[in-house]
Amino acid sequence: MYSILQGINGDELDFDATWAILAASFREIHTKNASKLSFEELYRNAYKIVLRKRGESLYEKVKDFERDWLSNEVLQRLETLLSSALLPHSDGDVGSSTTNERRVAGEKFLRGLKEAWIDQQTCMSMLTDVLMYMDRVYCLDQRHPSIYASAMMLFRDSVLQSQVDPLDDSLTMLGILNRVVLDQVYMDRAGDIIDKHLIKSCVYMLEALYETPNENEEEKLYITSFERDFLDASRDFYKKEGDQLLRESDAGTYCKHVRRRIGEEQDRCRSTLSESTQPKIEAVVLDELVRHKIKDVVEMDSGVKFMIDNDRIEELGLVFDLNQRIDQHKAELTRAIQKRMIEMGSDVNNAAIAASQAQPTKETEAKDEHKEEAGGDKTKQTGERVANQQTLAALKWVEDVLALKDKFDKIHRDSFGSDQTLQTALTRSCSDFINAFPRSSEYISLFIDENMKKGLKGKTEQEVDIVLDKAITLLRYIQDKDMFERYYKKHLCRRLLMAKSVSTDVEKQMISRMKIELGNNFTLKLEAMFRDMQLSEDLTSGYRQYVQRLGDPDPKRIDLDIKVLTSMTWPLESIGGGSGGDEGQQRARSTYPPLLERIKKGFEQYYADKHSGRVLTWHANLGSADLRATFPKVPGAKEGSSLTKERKHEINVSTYAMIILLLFNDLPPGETLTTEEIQARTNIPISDLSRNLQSLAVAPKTRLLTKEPMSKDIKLTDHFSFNDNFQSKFLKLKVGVVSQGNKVEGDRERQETEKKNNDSRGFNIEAAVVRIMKQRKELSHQQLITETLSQLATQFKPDVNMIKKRIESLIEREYLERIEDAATPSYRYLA
Amino acid sequence: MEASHSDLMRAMATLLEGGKYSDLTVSCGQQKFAVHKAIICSRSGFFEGACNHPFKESTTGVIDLSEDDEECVRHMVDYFYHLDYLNLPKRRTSLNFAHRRISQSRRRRASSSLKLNLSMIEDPLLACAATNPVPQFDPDRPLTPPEDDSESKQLQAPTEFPSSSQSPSDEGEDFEFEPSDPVQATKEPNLVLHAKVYAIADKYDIPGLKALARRKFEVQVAQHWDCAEFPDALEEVYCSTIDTDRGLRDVVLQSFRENPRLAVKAEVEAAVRDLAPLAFELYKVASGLPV
Repeated sequence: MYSILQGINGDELDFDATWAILAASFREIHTKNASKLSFEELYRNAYKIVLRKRGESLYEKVKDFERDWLSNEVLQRLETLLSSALLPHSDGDVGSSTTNERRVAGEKFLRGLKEAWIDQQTCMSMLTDVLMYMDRVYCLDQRHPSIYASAMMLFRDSVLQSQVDPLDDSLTMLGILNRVVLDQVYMDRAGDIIDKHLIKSCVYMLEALYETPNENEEEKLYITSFERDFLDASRDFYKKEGDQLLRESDAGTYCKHVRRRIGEEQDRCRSTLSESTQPKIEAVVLDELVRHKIKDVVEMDSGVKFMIDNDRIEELGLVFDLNQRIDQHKAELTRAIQKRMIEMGSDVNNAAIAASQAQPTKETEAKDEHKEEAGGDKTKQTGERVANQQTLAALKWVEDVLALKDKFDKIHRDSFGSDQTLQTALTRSCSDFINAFPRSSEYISLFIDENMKKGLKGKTEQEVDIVLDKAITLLRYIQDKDMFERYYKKHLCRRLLMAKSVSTDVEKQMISRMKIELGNNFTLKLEAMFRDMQLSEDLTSGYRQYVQRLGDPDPKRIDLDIKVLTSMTWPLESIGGGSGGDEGQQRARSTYPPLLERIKKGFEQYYADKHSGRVLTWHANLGSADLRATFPKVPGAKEGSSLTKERKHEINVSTYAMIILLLFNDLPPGETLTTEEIQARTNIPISDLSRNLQSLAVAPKTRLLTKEPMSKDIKLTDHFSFNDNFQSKFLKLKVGVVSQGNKVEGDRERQETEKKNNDSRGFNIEAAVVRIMKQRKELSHQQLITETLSQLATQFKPDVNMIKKRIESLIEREYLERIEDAATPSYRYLA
Repeated sequence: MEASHSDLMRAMATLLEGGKYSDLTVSCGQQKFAVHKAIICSRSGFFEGACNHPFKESTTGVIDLSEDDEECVRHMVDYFYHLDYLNLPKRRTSLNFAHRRISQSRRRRASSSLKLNLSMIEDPLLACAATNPVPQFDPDRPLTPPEDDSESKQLQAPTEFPSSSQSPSDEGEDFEFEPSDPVQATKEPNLVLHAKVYAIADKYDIPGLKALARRKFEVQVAQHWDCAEFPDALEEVYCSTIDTDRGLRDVVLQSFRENPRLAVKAEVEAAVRDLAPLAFELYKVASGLPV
């Protein structure tokens, strides 16, 4: 046997002697005296041992050698570095030592450990090269860990996991290392300077060592030992810090602090600990400082509400950032933002309601405030002021809502980075409070009306665009688009008929914007109104030419300017002062003076020739007339007064007022007419009549008639006569009709509008139900309701009860029937 | 490719021969090799280990391999520089690098050539012709040059510095690197030598040399299984590496399988009787068991 083991050079192997040489050399290597050793000799000795099949003995010997070295030399040196400042005390506290003492002692310990570790690595890499043949041939064949890996495990077992205190088997070097590092981290958090590099070296050590020889990533000593302690300790630390901060600082400071802490922990992982810890410690910080506290922070006195009210854009951004880190829905922030928006929205709504109801007590104030606006009107009556006040309330409401929206839009953009979730939430809240306000549709329409009439005068295209944009923005939020349409039609109707609109172009722009926003259906009738206006213009000029061709040379010919309106398109009843159908009939029967009657007949004939079969109904209450009136010299008038001369005025009056005035043309001077007589001769509905008489005889600047007795109210027995003494410094006069221009609806009107709206909703609902059922034939109740709601969503949000009633009614009228034996209540369409 | 490869090989040969830039000495008995850390440490774990740590070798810059077989050490060093051993180019290796020879020859020519001083002319075609003249008659070469001969290549890239294989031929520095197949069978069996080289390659962790030695051994055994050296080679194979190293052992077993007559040779029998592991493996082979 031994003859085989005679090697290449024929020498025998004396294992013990060879090992003795190696062991002595290893000692030299560990004491950093390798420079006298021949690598070749050591290599050759190790090679020989392995070649002679003693690899296992060599492997074990080396391990024994390392184990002895580590526990005798290395560990003892480390133990001398343990000062009392580093050891736990019986009371479990860090003890009485000062921070500085602990830092110095800790650093000394860490430095010692780091050096021991680096020495171990250096020596083992030398040994590994010396023992290369063993690693390559023996360890690989036998599937042993390499001698390097074994030595590192020995370092773990013999140094790190050695007991420090023979009485306490839980306290190991590793435990002390963890305590020291944690202590240093605390100092770092408290703002002290620590040797980050040193700690990082020790972390590298823990990251290079594993619990088991498998070298499973999850079993790094760093993860199983230090990181766990670190996360637990940090959790406690931040829990305490969070509580304290909540007590002592405001929300903004809190958020800034948390943000700083997150950044610090990130830096710490990078510079002092391991990057792999970063997500974990961040989760701990977020848990303790954000997830468990965000609700309190948001709701603090200095929380989100305060930040919104004081435009703390940056702080809101911080809250957003923190909330976003823990919750992709940002529930807490969303809730607070929505709550505040609804609150502020309600304030705006309530202010508008208060403003529109507070008139009587604020009358004088209102008068001063709106003098300028009211100044254009010839009649100043309480009603007018109330109307103006309400209009102003409406405009203010719109401006406030827009301002509120702007405020939140700015926050959303600057603080929340235009986040989608919050966008949705803000839109919903905005929609909620706008729709919670019963008059929102009317007010928005009024806002447009006001701008169309006055506001846009002299503005550049860009400015106009901005205003239109605002209107459209608000319009988007309105749920009951049908209500808005009703009001818009009413306001548009008045603007068109009374030629109050500043610019037809802008009107058309608005319509086309609404078309884009709300669809074709919505603007159909509005466009029809514009069409009617255009047709009427053509008709008027056509008629004028027709009259000229007739060759009627009458110099006193009356110029007729006519507007033919399609009855279903125009909301005529709603602008006639809320009168019902009876009054409309009555108006049509008003008696016109013969002169006018002839023209009226003439036009009717002309129109009938062009469009046979169409019936014209005359709405005198919507018309106006330009009259040229001559006031005679007043005998005995004071010298210098204008009364000494004959005076001519061009007077613009309503059609009714013209009819009334014409009566006095034929009346001999000095005679009077009573209200009753006027009514009998003109057949003007009494309400219209008294309003017109008020404008003619009561309004101070346009008293073309004198009234006996002089009072505000018109009584049937009042006498009227032509006012010869009338004087005015203006050549042209306009006689306004009292309360015709009431802009905001009164309660009675509102009820009517709503009633009408509900009626038309009823029709819409029925139409939708029939459409759906015609297509689906059979459908369950629930599905039918859902589909109806979705079909009508663009127009309005129907009341479910109303849908139910409509379905009942459709069943009664045999459009639908109930399916008797269906599992869920269902309907069938009856063709 | 071929040209640049031989370029490198020639430079390596020059490096070993001239010892220029040497930063390490490998000694073995009386032999000394001036070698380069960059070339040998990058190929061998042992040399890397010796130079990488503060042992005696790294301070003295000498690695003494006197314990090893001198011939083997020489072959090992040859391998580092020639990628081969035993079968090295016959012609003498220049002590100068190729580029230096060219510039020297230019200088010489500039002073001697009276008729036509080509170095003063910048025409690239002429320059090319000057540095790449019609090859001298060489009885070993075919008269018609192969298709991809330098002629066409140089015309394609005439401005290139003419450092490719043919250029220095006019200087009589007739070093042609003819990469002959390193594992051709030769007259001398050299079985023991190859086995020893295999062992030293294993010892010093030079995988390339180990594979080369194995291939040479394999080819030679197939050719010379009958030679007198064979029994000695058996002992070398079975004693110079550990049992689990199958490289040469498998080659040996294969030759027994293919040449049953081996068993009846008395010298072989004596060797097998001495080598228990070989005997056992042969038994396994005979029984058809996997080794």
